[in-house]
Amino acid sequence: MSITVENLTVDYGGQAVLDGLSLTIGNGQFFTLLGPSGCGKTTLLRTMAGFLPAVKGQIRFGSRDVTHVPPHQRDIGMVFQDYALFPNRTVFENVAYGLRARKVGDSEIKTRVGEALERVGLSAFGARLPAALSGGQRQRVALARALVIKPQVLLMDEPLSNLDAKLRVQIRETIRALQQETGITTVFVTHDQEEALALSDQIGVMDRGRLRQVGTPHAIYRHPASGYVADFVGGANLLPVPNGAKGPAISFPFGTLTIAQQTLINGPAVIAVRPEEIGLGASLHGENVFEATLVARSFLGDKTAYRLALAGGFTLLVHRRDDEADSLKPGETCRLHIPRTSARMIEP
Amino acid sequence: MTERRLASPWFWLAAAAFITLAVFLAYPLLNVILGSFGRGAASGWQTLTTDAKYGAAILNTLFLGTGVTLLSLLLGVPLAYFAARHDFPGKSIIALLPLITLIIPEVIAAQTWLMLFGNNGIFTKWAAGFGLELPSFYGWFGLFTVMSFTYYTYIYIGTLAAIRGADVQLEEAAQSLGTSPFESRLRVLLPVILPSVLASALLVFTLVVGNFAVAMILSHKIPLLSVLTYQAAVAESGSDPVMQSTLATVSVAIVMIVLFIQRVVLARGRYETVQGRGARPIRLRGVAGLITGFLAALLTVISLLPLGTLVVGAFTRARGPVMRWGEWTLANLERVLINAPDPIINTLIYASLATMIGIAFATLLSVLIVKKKTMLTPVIDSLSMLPLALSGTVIGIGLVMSFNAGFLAMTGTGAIIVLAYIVRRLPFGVRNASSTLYNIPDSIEEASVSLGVPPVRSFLNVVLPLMVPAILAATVLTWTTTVAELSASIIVYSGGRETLPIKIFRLIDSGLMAQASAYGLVLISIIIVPIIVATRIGKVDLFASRS
Repeated sequence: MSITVENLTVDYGGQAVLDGLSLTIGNGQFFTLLGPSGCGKTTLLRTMAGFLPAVKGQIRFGSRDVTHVPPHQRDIGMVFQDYALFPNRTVFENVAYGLRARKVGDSEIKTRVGEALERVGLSAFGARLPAALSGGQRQRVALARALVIKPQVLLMDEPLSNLDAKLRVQIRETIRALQQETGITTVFVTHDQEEALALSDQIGVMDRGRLRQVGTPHAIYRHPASGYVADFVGGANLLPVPNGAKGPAISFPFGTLTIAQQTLINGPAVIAVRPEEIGLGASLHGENVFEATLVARSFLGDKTAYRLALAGGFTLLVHRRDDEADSLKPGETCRLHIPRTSARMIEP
Repeated sequence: MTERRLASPWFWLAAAAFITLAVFLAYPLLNVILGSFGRGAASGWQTLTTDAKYGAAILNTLFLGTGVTLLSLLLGVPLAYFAARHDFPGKSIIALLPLITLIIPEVIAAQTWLMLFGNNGIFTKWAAGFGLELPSFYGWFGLFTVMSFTYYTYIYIGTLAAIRGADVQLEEAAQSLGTSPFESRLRVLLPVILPSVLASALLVFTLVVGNFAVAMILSHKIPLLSVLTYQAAVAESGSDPVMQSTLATVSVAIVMIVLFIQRVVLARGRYETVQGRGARPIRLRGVAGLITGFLAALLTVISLLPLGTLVVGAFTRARGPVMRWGEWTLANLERVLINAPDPIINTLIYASLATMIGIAFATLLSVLIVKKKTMLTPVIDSLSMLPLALSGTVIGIGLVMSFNAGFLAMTGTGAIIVLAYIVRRLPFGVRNASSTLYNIPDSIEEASVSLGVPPVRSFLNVVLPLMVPAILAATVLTWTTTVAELSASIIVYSGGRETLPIKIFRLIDSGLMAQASAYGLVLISIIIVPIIVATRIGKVDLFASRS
């Protein structure tokens, strides 16, 4: 079932949270809405679910207009951040709840709930109350409960954010596997870029009620359309391009930066450079090599993060795996190199 | 959007609730206030300023309120501190204290203190045997004693919760920064608990201002606001409708001012305590432990004294007002249970009706306030808390003025007693239900809806069952306070519809303590039995929603 959102406006106490947003999610896709808190991603999800009314615009599941359909008639499965298990019902009864609402017969309920629990590896836990489960187990029950009704659309609101790091990865894999197996169109909300990159077919990066970029994880990471997306997904140094600067050689107070890109941006633009793509060393020379002063250094295990100051008040974050610059002390000067192909001119 | 709102069943429920509250709460209060202006020159406010009796009553009431509040603080705060932070011999007795406030109706407290220290009291006679003359218990002495020992438990409960909730790490932080343990407590713990202590102190103050039973029985020749208000409302020689309204308005104004102060203080001084660690009680050893234990036990025994006196009184032979201490009999109880059981039956009928209707309505209101917000929510919220600012006397007067005639004539029926009960206990029921509702996340209801169950059925399916324990606890608590209600019901009741507290009050007035004790014993059993059944058999945690 594809999902189409057209020109959607949603407000919260008179203030527009979403303003004319449009989006198409293909049938069977795993689509992630990614963005910082307050960007409107949960609002969009809850509007798709029907818990928030649309002021303007349309939402369609397939060809069916659901904009004014109440949530209980939309045929959705929903997974919540706080699991939202019914605390007074057993695991079995939680999973059976949606089937009972659909008047499914007892024997069928038994087999379908059994299957659903087996899929999430909780067959032995049917008789337990949610309070007797760990966080990870609870979220698996919630997942089974949402999937057992074979919904047209699965909506997940930050389902992993209450779990610790290890469990997050584990449940993430369960979610991905179940989604592939069932082929249910899924919308997943998160603020965690790693989650988004690992799970999704498509990611929509949101910022203040707008979709900034929609694309595959690879496209979003490799070809961010804006400084905002580059920084939010993967992290990036953003150097504002001086007014009227014409590429490919752009002069900054610290020197001239030459970029490989041919098509340039009209209007305000930034140069985005990933921290791990910047070279560091005393002996560097040639094009795009600049003098810098080390401000701070932190050892992060698999890499070392350097904060460097350049002339004109610019600072750059550099990630290196090698130990070449390890003898460098704060306050000392060094040289850094920005490869032509690593510097992308994009809108802010 | 608007269409959606109108289509929601919750909106219509909210509208119905609002109309109910407006008719039975706002309208009577409005009548009271408007009534004070009288007609033409006969404004109550003029009389109030010219007749010195009324000025004195207001001053006396404020004096009594302040004094009792201070004494209650003096008793309650140290007790709470030692109970929270120390272990000492006999500490477990203190756990009984919150129950005492619940089970001893004020009218019985006043009665039993009189049986001990009144003109014919046990202690008075005993002291006279040694040639000692105790000061008369009628007047300030009795008022201060009975009210302080009745109300200090409110301070104790409030302070105890605050100290337990305070993060001991704050004190440790202060100590790590170089202040002594005592100084740390003074500079860190005290400011943190002060808002709660102040809140309970203001509660005590308003309870004293509105107190009817103790004031009526013990004030004697001291004019007090609540007593004059009652007398203006039901004087045998013809009531004074203008003065009753005026005095009632004054007491409403006093309580409103106190609530306003409370709001200002709380807005400024309530600190968000990031959930930290509670303190570990330190065992008091040796003399300090013994003294603390002795004092705490003494206080508890004094608090329980009324109960013992009541039991003894109920089984003591009496001829008229003369108690024959030491001569035992079952005649009092026999009379109460077999010859004149009407007050018992009335109480049971009115209180059970009021509890059932009241709890159902309070539950609905709390849902409308917490879960199903509509444009009417703020009004419903404040209206349902309004009775907190009204003494029973004021509520009674308002109801009589409003439903004496017209489209809802209820005076002279049992309905108005039930209504008075419901109105008085409404805020407690709403608070109880609301506090559990806040703990039930909206997401489980949404989960149910997302699984295909319509909204109202989702609510009934998943939210209501989770509220049941809290509703049961609220039912028991409402029952215990409703059967003991006196100040509103004594104004609205009519002949033949006496409830137990009213009957007891009348008997005390006539000095018939043995019979009053027997009725009192029945009243206390009616209060205790449900508590025991609920906590022991039903495993209901009565105080889960406090703290």
